[in-house]
Amino acid sequence: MSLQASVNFNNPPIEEVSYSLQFRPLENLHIGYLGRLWELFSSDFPNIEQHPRLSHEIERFGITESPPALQIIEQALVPRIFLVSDSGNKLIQIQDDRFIFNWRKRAPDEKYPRFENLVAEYIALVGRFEEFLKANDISGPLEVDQVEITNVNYIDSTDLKLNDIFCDFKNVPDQELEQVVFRQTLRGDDSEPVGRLYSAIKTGLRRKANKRVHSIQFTGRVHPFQSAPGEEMDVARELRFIRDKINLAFKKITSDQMHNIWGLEN
Amino acid sequence: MTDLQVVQSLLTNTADLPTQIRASQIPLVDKVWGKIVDLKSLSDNWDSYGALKPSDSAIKGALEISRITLHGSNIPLPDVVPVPNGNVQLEWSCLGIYLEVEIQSDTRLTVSFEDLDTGEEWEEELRFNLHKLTEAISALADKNLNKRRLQLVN
Repeated sequence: MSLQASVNFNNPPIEEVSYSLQFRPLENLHIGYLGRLWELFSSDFPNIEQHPRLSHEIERFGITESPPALQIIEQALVPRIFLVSDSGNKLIQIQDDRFIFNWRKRAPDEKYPRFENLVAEYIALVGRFEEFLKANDISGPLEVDQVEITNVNYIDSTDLKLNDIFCDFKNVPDQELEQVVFRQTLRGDDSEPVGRLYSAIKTGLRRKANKRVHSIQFTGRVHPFQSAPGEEMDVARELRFIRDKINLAFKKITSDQMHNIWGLEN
Repeated sequence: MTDLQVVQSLLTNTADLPTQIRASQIPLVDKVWGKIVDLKSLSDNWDSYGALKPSDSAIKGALEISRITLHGSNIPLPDVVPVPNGNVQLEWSCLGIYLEVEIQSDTRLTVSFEDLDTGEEWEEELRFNLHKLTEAISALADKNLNKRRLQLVN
């Protein structure tokens, strides 16, 4: 999968980012192992929270709309856990078919640690997770079926009009916009679809800061580029592919004026 | 959560309780789901030649693939059969078409298709793009519709 030149910003308005591998459910990963995983990661992520499960999402092509997803209830479902760093700005999410790493901005002056640094940290965490699964005979290599990035950007719109921030919003009244959602197909080198990018622009009041903001959220999801089970997968390359698509979309929907503020690199 | 699920969650021994699936409200899909869930009763060596019982991923894959591909009109009911390697197969042998969908999981399936009328024949492993499978099922549905029209005329 060749990659086009990346779009980068020195000071993006990013508030949170997550990197996720979704894989075939690990049937032997019972709740006791979640406690042991907490122990494994506890030096950097000493706090634990329990949350509702995420659904298993697959981007498919060549099908029309389907009836609602079926629900099979055979045994108690293992919950999703959050392992959270002391500062709260980094966390791991684990459930039997997901391993996710988040960075979130906790202090107003906190700098985004940059994609390459976060991905390197994520890949090291995935490696430790896989070693744990192997050591406990839970699974062989993960059978990944989707790779995903979500990122959320907040733009303080107190002194800005919609048209200052976004392209092509000339006819949308400032006070009326609630939400705009796009869904695009992502294609590989051979023009075959490999995934989708979901973009959502929302307007609202941010309670924490009591400011009116626009949020731009992207979720990019692709299937593994390798063709055979067991064939080694380059997670960093897939994440970079998604990141480049997200950054390109971000650049295309936002204005030159904002690019200058965020430090678009040439 | 339904009442039945609430009751089940309070029990400690649920091994004998039936698998619960929420109805799709599409008659064909519900019939196929019933046939797929029946395969869960098979044990290893079900064919007395050492066959593996259908794997959980094949069962779940078959439920999901049928959900997303069998909701159109005029699709004939497929046979649902276990494969000795632990996979599950949906198959049609009717209206001059042979269509076999061997499911390992919801993202790994092998599809073989033969149309005796046109001579078209292919076999492919499909993962995320199911276009060829939905085209094959549409061909079956079209032929089924034509057959019903002819029956009405006659």
